[in-house]
Amino acid sequence: MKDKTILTIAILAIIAIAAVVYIINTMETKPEGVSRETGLTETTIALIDGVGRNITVQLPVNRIVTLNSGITELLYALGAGDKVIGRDANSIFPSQVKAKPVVASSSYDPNVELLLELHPDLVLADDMLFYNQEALSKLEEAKIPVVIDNPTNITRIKPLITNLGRILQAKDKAEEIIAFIEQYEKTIRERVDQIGYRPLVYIEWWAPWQSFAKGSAGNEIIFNAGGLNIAAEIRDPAPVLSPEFVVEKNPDIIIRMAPSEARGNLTAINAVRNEILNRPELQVTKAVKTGKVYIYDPVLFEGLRYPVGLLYWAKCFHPELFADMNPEAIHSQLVKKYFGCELEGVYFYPPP
Amino acid sequence: MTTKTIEELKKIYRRSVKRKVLIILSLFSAIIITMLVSVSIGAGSPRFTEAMQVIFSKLLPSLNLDPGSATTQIIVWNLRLPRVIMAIAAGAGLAASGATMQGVLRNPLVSSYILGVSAAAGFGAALATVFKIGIIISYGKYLIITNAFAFSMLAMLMVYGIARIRGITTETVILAGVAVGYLFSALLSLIQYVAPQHEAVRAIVFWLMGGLHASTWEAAIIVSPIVLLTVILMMQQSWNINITSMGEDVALSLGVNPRHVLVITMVLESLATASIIAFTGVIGFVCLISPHISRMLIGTDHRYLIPCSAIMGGLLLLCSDTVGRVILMPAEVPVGIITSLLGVPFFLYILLSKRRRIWQ
Repeated sequence: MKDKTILTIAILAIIAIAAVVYIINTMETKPEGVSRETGLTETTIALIDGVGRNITVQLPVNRIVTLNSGITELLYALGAGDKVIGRDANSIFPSQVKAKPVVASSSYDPNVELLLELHPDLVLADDMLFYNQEALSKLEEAKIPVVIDNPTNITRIKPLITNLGRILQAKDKAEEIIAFIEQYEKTIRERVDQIGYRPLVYIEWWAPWQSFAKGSAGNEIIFNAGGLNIAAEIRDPAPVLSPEFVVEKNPDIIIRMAPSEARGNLTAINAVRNEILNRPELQVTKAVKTGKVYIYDPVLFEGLRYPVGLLYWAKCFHPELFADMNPEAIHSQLVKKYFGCELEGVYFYPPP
Repeated sequence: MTTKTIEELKKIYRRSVKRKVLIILSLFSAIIITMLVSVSIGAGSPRFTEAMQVIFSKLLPSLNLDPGSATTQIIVWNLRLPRVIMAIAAGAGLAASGATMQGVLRNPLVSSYILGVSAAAGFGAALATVFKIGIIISYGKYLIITNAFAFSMLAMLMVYGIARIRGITTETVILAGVAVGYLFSALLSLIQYVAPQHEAVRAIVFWLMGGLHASTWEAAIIVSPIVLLTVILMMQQSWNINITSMGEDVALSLGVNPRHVLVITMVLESLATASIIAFTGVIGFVCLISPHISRMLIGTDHRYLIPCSAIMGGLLLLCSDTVGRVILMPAEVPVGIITSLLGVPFFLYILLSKRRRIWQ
């Protein structure tokens, strides 16, 4: 009997405490002067990120952790470099960012403890974080808004810049960058549409015969730059191609991504190019016979550098159409204008 | 129990030998036919006639055959043919090694990777891929190959060294092999975990999956003679393996030292396996399953079992690679996946349809 009484009191006490906690919580989450229906003020914005999540961000945002090098570049380009308080190990450009603490090797593996200690208002990451649900849910539990997007996905570049413009209250600058990208997209599209000819392109990613096919960014960029991917009809976005298929397609041009250890280093890039030029089976292809084998740095297709990459490819596919445009000069102007430094290293070899 | 005369027994023995030779010959013919099919199909257009024209015009220039266009020649002669030869050599070497080790160690779960060879080769390759560290040479396209080979041999020496301390028996060799294997797997995982570049990690995974896509004439010319030589030397040991499989005491009383046999076969199988996987990456399963299929077909006499396993391994790997090349044309499927998909049903069919019990 006595036991039952104690049990009843205990249950009632728990219910009472829960009710008090609930009421206090709801009182706290209702800021003054905000309508209960929308829960939004001018200082709160709602946006949809690159993986379709609905995110609410409290403005102003002053403490940002970025976990992707392309996003880091965009933050600096939008004039928010001083708001970056933490980064991933790949974010090393512009050089000022190197002084900020590293809290992850990439978006896939943020060190949640280090990150929380920085008390960020916002975490920006690429979609690798989406595959690390534990870290993501820990950040969400800590009530830190996390925006996930992919600056290497060409369909996401403009929406990402728009989102960042709203978050950083730098709409004009965001629109300016988008106009810069669209201007080159438009010029390239118009010129390429003029002529019906599209050279056949074989693109190699990080291993011999590993290519980009239907549904991949690489495939789409080749088309936008006025080329025709030999693997355009294959449904696997990143297939390992049969060498005999490549040989028989007889590509006019071969483009190969520079492996990360070779980036910026001309000797290493040349070694990668020579390996392709000397591959016995490729000797019969037009690309090797005419020496049209190019090595590109994938950073050219990240964020605001995308027009530079697109122009490099377009010029390599149609040198006569783009004789008046110099991708390296545009790249150099861009770096100077948005990052305030000189362009260093090799991003595309040989120059088209 | 009926008694049989010596003559009758000899007749039964001769009949069984004839049957075994027949099985080996038919497997051999199957390989030849599969070779012809394999050089005639692929993502490129050359088919049987073109393929034969290219091959015969290269082998017998005096016939003055039309070899076809340069593209056709490259597809048949530089892409398909070395790959076919490499598939047969790799399959044969791995399967013969597996059969030998299963016999010597008297254990059906042993494969040619029992001495930790595959993990060590993977570690060597990863060291080369990620940190560009080579222990024989330090640069160039042979870096991965030489590293994989060197570490495989190192694993074998470690197993030998560890086993020697306690006396070389089947148990110590198997356990030392497992331990060394785990050590190198852990080191390999460590490299993958700390690798600074994502694509290097992807390259290691790609390498570990194994495949024949990188087969060149160079690889085929290096690997084939090594496999041929080691398989012949393994066959020379087959009497000794037969005797040791009856037990240590029996072997010793017949003048065969099981430890010597074990050491010799260990060296041979490591040499064969290491030279193969240095070029192909870790191709699993063939070395485990081919000896079992062969044992069910031909029995446990290693004089026949080793060559039969070799041919069976070559056939299985060639069939798998050909299927892998054409199933998602023009994309390719790694051979390891196909080997298991084709090999397991085949193995189960033989396992369920045969009454004979091999491992008692």
